Amino acid sequence: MPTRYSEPMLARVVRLAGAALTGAAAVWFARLLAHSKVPPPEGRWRELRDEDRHRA
Amino acid sequence: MNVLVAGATGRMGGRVAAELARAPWVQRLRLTGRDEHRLAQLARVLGGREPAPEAVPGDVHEIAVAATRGVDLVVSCAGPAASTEEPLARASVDAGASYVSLNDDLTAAERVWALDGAAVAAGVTVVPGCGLSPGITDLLLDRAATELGTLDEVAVTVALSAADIASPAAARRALGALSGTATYLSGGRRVTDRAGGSPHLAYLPEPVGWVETVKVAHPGIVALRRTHPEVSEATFRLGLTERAAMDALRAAAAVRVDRAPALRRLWTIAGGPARALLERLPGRAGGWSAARVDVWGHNDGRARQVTLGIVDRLSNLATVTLVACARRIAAGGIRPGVLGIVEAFAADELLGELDGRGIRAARLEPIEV
Repeated sequence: MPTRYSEPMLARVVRLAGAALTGAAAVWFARLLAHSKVPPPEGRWRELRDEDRHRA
Repeated sequence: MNVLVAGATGRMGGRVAAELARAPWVQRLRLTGRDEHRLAQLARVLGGREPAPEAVPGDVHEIAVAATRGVDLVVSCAGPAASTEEPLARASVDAGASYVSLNDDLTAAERVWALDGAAVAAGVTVVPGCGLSPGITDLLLDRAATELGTLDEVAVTVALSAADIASPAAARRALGALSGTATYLSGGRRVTDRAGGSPHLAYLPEPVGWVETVKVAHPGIVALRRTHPEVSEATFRLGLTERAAMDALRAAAAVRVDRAPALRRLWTIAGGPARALLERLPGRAGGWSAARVDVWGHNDGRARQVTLGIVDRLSNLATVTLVACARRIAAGGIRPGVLGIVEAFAADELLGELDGRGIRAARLEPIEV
């Protein structure tokens, strides 16, 4: 019966790389979710009117 | 007037060609693009006008000279600008045709600015960068400058939707913008740094809202130093409104995907399906693009800040502006040479024309509590 230590080297590397990628993707997705909450608006965007041209 | 649309098979080029096909001031319309099949299809669709548009398929480098022959005005939407802008502008000047473009590449813009003497000698007007940025952001800067006596600092921020970088040329351009060097003004001197750095959240006109942006190189720095030499600090920032797509773009830029041809091909091929997935993840703004211009200065000895912005679909923002600039050149009265958009045209009139097309600038005002 094959043991963990008799596993071919290539398969082990692939498995570890897969785990690392999955972990990185999970961290990234968690960051996305965390950052989907944004600060309150910095101000109010109001359309420019003609009189804006003459504002001092 | 005989008009050539370069890059007509692209997303922007198709819209521009359609607008010009309806324009009464365009007598003859010639279209060029790499994709022969799509070009023939476009010429057929726009074939209602008389004479029918002429299609000249081929790569810009091979057909620039032949395509610009007998043309009065070249309207370029060809990309990526790094490789198409200068050959097209040079061919236009040599052919005695004026030139307007959507160029947003600093190196390409500087090569075009070097054609100033040739353009003056040929009696033609060259205005590179008549899209969203450079283009509308320069108009907003000019509008803000009228409210401030002296300008000290300028910050230009552009947020594009990932859908706007769907074409291979646009995807490569976005990658290149974050992979090269960022150019800005510091203490009145031009400084370069690694692009893609200094991440910063910027608040753009709704529905875009907060977007993570990074420093990039921008051709606006050339026009800014000509029109407002007193400005000592200037930064140019770019972001994608879809946060997941922005992360992917930053990661690709960090590992220098643009330097390896195989990776670059993979980026172009995988970009479409990956983008569709990334656009569905949290932190998305529904395909809108926006720009914001912050200007700090002095008025009557008092320090003031003016922040102006604009939001719409990029295809509207860029193509309406480009066609408006083309029409003004066709109307005549613009001096020859290579000019920035606010040197060539009256910013208020151009903003007024955009307003008439439903593209309205906005001012950021503090919320009163």
